[in-house]
Amino acid sequence: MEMHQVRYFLAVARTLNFTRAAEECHVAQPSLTRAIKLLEGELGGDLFRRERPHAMLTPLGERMFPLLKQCYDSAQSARALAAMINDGEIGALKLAVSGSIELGLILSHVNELRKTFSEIELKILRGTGPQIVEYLKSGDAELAVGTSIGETWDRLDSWKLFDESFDIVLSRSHRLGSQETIDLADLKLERFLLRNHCEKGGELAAMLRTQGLNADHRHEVSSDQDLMALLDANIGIGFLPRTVNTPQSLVRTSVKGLELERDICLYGVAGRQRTPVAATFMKMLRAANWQKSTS
Amino acid sequence: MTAKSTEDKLKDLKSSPRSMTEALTRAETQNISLSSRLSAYRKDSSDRRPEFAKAYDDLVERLNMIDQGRVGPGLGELMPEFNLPDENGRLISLSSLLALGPVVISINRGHWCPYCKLELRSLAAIHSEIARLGAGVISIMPDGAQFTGDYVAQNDLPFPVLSDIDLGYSLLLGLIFWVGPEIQRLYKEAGVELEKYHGNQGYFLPMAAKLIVGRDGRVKARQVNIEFRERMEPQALIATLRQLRIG
Repeated sequence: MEMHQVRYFLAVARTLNFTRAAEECHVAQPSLTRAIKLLEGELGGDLFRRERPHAMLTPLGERMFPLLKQCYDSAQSARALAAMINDGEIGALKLAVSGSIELGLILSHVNELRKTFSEIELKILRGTGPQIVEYLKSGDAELAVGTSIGETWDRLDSWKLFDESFDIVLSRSHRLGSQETIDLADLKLERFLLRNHCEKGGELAAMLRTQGLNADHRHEVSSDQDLMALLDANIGIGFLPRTVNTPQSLVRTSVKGLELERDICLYGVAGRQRTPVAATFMKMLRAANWQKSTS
Repeated sequence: MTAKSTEDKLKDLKSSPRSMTEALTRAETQNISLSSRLSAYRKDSSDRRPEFAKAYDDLVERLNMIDQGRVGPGLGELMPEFNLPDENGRLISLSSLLALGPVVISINRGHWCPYCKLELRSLAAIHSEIARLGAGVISIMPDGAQFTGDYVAQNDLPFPVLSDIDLGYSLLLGLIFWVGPEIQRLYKEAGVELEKYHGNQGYFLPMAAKLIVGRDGRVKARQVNIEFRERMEPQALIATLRQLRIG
């Protein structure tokens, strides 16, 4: 199928009117109708029910609409990005990243994008899950990287990038720091360091309770930097996702019965036009081999 | 008794290979030209999975009716620019490749497609000759690097495989088609998980194509295989590159 056929189809699907769609696409109506007929031939069925002057999407049309839109947007952004680079424009990328995720995860991709532009302007916003959703809603960020915020707003596009498990982290000088394995029972008297900036905080506390541990016996932090400082000073026992790096002074281990996982996802606002830079970055993150880069 | 067992033995020798891998190996070891490899595989495959062969025939017939020989960028046309990530996440542009010499662009259906595998391996085999002629090779497919990474390694591909996520670039070239419900069903049964490879529910694929782009960015030779079980012969490709060098 061809770009113009898809463009005409999307215009009719949006306006539900062949005349108006032809005007929008600056094309004579017979040409538009012919192009859509060809597309229907290729897809093997009618896309519209014609009830002059209106058009209604058939079930096949309904099904193809989001699929062809995604493909068309991808083609448009590819073309627009090439034009931007060719014209020497400055690329801008506004990205919200959950405070529970290391920026390092995505930096190689940012750098790849930066290399293709003569200049690129970055805006990195940090926050909790709900704050990230707000950044997306307000348009302060075009894309977000976070975990488990998919259900909070029905206008979110989300793509799972990878999943990872949490480790238990403690100081080498902690009384359990040199122990071969740690059991649930060893943790009975411990004070836990809970990350308020982590989307999985509630789930972790619930899991501790289920395993008979006192989740209220705790310290709270709201950044990994502070968590690391406290752990380094041998204050409390923390839980960190595998991709959050820790210094040599800390021990990472797992405890049977305390298994926690999270999905790292990319989010965007469904139906909102993305800039070519954001669209390209979105595709780069989705294409990436996360298994390899996070192992 | 003895006669029968000899006949059985012969039958065994002639029998269809049981797996795709076996069929691919057989096609590669018993044939010299790419076209004979492709048709050997096609034959084995249609003996093994006649329902696939039938669905593919129908698809090709449907697409051929629409095509009229004009699908994809034409000879002499400017090839659209791309910026696509390779299997290692590096963003590669057509213009950066053209700065080094002509480029052979192979549009492929995916890492799971046996015909593409035969084709890309035969391209790998002539890669040093292509390089000697000052040209580069790139494959573009809709699969993510999670799949193309291992594919490049396992097949010893000496060129990058780019991920065209959501088939945007392939659509720009006018090369995508929808596989339709029948093939979608067959793929699901056969464990070809396009949704996973593409990261979307589209079930679109690109038509297999070879485009040779000169340093001026224009298409110097092309072959779009709506009949994707046939591909451009590597020697034809070398001949074009030689001509480009002289011209």
